[in-house]
Amino acid sequence: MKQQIDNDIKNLVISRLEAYSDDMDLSLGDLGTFSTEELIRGVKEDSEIGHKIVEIEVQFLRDLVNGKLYKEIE
Amino acid sequence: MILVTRPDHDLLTYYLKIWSNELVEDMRRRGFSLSDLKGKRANRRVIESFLNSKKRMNFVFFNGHGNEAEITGFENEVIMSEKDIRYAKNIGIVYARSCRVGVRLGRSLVESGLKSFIGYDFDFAVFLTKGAKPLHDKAAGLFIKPSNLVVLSLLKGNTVFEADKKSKNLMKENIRKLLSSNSNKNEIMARHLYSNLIHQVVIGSGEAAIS
Repeated sequence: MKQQIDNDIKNLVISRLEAYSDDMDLSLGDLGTFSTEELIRGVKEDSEIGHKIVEIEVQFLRDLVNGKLYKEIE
Repeated sequence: MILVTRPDHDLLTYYLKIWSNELVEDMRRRGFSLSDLKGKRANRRVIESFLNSKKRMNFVFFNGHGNEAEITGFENEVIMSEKDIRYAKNIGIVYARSCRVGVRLGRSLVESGLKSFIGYDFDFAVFLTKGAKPLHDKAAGLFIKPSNLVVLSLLKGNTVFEADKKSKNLMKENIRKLLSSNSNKNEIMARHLYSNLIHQVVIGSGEAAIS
């Protein structure tokens, strides 16, 4: 069963998505190609693309904080 | 023999088709026997005829969509799935530029005799600039060039391990540049390129090469 995204995480991700550039779309495999507005709506509505974006954003933040990111890109 | 699938029914598959031109040209220049299934030809019937022909396929390069258990072609028709693992012994290396195939199908193919699989165990992300022509889209290039490098390295005779490493090194270099630029837009792209980096997987022998 798909879990609901925690509201704090949702708000954090939405605030990060608001910084996305309007002149670019994100293509995420067979889920399709999305504008910033569509990504934000996806997170708010707990859709599949919303869950994927949250997963990517949280993974990045987690690895940034625990230092794994800089080890990975060394 | 090399088999390439290049459907073009949506924006991402169209981009991948265009960005694969240099790879197909390199295959031809190097004299490989090549079947380049573009557009509508990237369908199940044609793929099945190759699989049934029992011709040894040294390298199969799939572009398109996918999921844990399937790779799709034109208009998302399933062109390879776990039902096809009986053909795995006849294939050397598979690179699936498709989402999540590394989770299960790649593993099943290797367990059934495929030498080596390169792919992704998550969704493959690409930023596309609105209105840009594919080859002039610098943002897309940051994502697609490292994946092209997997193929270019293999064609040069590098092993799967070396090809994966070169591709990841270019992703790392791109991420470092993006993160050091103090631009919101670039940091956002770095997050998604980082996802591609950590989710690009090799299953099977890292020592396999196109022979």
